[in-house]
Amino acid sequence: MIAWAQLRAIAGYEFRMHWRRRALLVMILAFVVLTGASILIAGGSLLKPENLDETRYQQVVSAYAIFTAWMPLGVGLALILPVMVADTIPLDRQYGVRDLLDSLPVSRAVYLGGKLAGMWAAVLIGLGMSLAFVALAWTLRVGVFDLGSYVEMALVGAAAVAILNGGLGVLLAVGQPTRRRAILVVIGALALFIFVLPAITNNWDLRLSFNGQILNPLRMPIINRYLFNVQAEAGLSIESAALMVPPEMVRDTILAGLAELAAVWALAWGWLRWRDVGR
Amino acid sequence: MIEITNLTKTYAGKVHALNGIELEIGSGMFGLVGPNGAGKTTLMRIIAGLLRPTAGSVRVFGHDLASQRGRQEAKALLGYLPQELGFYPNLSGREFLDYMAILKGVTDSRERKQQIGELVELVRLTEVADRRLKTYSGGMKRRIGIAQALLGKPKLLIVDEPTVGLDPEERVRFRNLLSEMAGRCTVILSTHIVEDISHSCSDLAVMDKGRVVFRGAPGDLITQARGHVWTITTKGEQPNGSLAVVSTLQLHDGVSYRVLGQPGALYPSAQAVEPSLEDGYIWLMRRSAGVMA
Repeated sequence: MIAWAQLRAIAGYEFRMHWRRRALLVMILAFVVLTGASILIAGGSLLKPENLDETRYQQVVSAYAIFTAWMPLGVGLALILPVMVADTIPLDRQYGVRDLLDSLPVSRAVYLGGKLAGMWAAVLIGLGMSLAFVALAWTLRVGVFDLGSYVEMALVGAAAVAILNGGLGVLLAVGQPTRRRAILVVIGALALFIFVLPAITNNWDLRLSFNGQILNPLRMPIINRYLFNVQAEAGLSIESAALMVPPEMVRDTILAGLAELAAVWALAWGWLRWRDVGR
Repeated sequence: MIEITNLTKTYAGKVHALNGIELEIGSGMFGLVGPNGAGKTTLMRIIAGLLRPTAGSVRVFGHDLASQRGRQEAKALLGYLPQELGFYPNLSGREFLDYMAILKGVTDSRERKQQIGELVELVRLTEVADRRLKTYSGGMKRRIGIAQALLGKPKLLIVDEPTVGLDPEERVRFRNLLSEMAGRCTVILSTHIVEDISHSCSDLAVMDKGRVVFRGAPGDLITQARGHVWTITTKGEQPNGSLAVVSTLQLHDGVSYRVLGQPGALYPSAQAVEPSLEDGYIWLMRRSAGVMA
């Protein structure tokens, strides 16, 4: 009962602190501005030609809407989000609150879980708000589009990458004493996960390591699904048809990512325990 | 009751912070005094469950701190004010207290609100309680730190150098508050300001180089210096020999020195005076260092 209240408190206050810091707002604004600019520029060329039937036009508009949102979002969530949230736990030490927290009857699992839940809530709500704004902007500028595919992109694509990579960013930096060290460690770890480890197992073939690994934090099968599938389905690109990603591969990528997250959680928990015992 | 048995703490590099400490601390206010580096903070951090001892044991109200469960149970009874306390700059004072209260196990929102209201009133922060902590002065932050330590009605209150950064009026208020708390729980007050101890503690320990060099009532410490405290008035030259100058007072026709030691024939006009707790402390520390017999 008390553990649950503590978890909710840590998550709730972490949520507030994320919203009151600049990083999350800057990321949301950058996404909205980038996507908004694309809508303004590309929107004018998507007005419906008279000889195109409504269904086909809807498909094309939807493909563009998803592509326009997903391009900055996919890169942002895969690469920038882990770095942005890396300081979630190290800030406790940087602010000098760590000793006080350690003197309270809070278990390591509750502490880690609360921190993660608060970060996830802050990021997902920010994500939801900005995606809703982008959808509204598309509708006003271009017209109605297939909202179902857009929502799927938000829930399966964006939310999954945010949960997996945000979690990795927080957990990988657990042991760092300052924001700067946390950011450097997460950048280093991402580089290791993205390039070095997969390359070692693929005779240093970076193309394979880049595209093929389901443990790769770039989450390429998810990224590719919303880049290529919608375009191929709308008949916009022949190359895209060859790069289409089946839903099973997206599922496997999410499952592998969850397993990866669980392993990093165990490492983070172990580090906290080791620090506790070793002091 | 806190029972400390043969407690030793050695940091990396073979730095002996604590060396075979034996203490029993009962209810009321217990003072821990000593010079910087004496091991006071290390001892407090071990009792608060933040550090593990190298050897020996600590039991807090029967909970053995050697086990994880024992530490968690002891922490649930604890209010702790560390020597250097930081804050979340983007939370208000009230939010910070609310956060700490829930983590301490005060889960009933009505009770929490009531406790926070009383405590911000007690530390005179009611008017600024909803302002972000990054806008607080050093003294205000110290007072919020004091308020968070008192949340959850702790059975054991550990305060490490609590009056640093407080103005004289606040210091007096805080000392009185601690004395009041000592009627309800065990308070361990660590400080190097002897005055804080003399006004509030009935039991104290003096630490030096990781050891307890004195344990008893403030009166006993004062007694040790009786017959060794003098005032000497000179034209300006400082008393020499093995005398330790405790204080200096400029007079219109010379300088009055309060000294510890035996002036003997060198200063026939020296006058014996009644020692204070500070005299007792300095006498003890110099004897412990082998400066005075």
